[in-house]
Amino acid sequence: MLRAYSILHALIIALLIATVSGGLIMYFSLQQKLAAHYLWKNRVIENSHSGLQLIMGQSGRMESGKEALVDLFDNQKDSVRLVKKNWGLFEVAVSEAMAREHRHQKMALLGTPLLPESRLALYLAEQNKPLALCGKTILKGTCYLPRSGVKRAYIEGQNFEGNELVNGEKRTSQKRLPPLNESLKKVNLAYLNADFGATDSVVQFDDWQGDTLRHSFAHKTVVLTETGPIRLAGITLEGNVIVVSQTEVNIGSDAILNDLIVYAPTVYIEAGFEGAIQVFADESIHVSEGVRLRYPSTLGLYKRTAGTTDALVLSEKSRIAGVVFCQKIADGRLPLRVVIEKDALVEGQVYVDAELDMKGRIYGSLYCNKFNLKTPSSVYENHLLNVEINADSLSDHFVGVGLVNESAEKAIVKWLQ
Amino acid sequence: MAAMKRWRTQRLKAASLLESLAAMVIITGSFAGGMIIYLNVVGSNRLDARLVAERIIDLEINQGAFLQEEMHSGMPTDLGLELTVDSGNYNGAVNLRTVQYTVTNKLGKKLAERQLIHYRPHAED
Repeated sequence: MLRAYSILHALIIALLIATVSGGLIMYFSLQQKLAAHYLWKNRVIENSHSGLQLIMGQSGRMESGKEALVDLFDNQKDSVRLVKKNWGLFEVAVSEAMAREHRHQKMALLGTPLLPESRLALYLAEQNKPLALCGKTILKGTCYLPRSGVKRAYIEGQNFEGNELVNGEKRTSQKRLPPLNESLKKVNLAYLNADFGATDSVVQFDDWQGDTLRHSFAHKTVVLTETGPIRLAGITLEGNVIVVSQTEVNIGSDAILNDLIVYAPTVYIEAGFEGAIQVFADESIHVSEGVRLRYPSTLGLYKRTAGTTDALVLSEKSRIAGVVFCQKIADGRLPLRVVIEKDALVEGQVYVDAELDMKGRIYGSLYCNKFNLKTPSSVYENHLLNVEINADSLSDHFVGVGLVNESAEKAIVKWLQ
Repeated sequence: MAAMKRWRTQRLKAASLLESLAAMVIITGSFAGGMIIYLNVVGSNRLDARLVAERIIDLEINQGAFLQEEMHSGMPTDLGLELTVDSGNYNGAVNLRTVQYTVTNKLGKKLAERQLIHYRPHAED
């Protein structure tokens, strides 16, 4: 028999049930919200990746620096904002996907994958002189050589020590090097002429008081400029930053420089410096002993003034992974020499529209007009002594630039922040 | 002491039957509500299935299955994964194509769907 107070007991039970049910409702609701958050987040991440793929596939059709808003699948749900801009020899691609309150951005540095046919070791222009090899010289990979071919030679008391002169296919070269990709030149010469982009934020280097600047590629490019010389020492510059001087830039060994570009008539990099930078000059570039330029770095010389003979020098034990090029754009008869010293190493692509004093190693490809070997006792034309040019030693994953042919193919060089 | 005695002998003024009926209504109502919530939570298995389906697509993408145009994940047997690679070119670009993943349950109901754009270098070759 039910006793009095049973309604009180019933209310207590009801309260308990309500509490448990309320807890379940909250749990269920939270689970739904988390799932929705995960699904949308996942969707925008995938969409930003698709946007990046879209930039790579339509790179040639996209105008540099111009923003494009794209509805990926024509469903009004998958929108991406795409921007592509030139960054030295490379391109920066920014893809930002948006959905509801979610946003996700992917940024990458794009380059050109080296196709098997463009993975040559040496292209030596036809100058009616054979290539002479001495000492422990190694040529590995496809070589384009003058008609007179390649021969053994004896200089500085050293004979050729290898079994085969060329470890790879031999082809005949033309009188002139394949022309350098013109589209790469235009943008970089503009900055050398202090002709900045319309969207750049230009700041006088002397007015900038800081010692650290890390600037995302999602924002406008910061250009630190000066009419006089600039010394980059004891400072950190990373990301979307360009340094332009109208006279000279001197890079100290203690500077922390990553991803930025330097434009100046003359650039001097002090011994011991390590970083990933692109350097463009129109008079000379000097890389001191032991300097290490990480991938993807560039040393580019557009020689348009008479003067320094040794215009681009890679000193002993210096290393660069990326691209090195020297192009005469004013007077074709200008005396011009590029020097790659003993124990210097270039991993990547080298294009020298001049004489090359080659004593180091190149893992990758070399385009060159003529070798001009300077020794204490003499100067030898088209001679290589204790040199290695090895296309096979270059990583299969190396992504460079279309130096001699404009390519629509794109690949990711590195992810950016 | 007298008060205590009066309290012990006093009859309670309560309608036990009415109280009991009200209590039963309250308890029944509470259980009914609880049951609805319970069924709702049980129904959230559909959400779990959807999340599993999304996870399967993630795994397939990470394994690059669409590159080989074949599936190779150890997915639950009661789910089906369909991969559609658009034979046409995305936006007229030869090197771009649309890849679509769809995961369905055993009744053929769509649990998750994902579309991607895939760039193929050397597509002209």
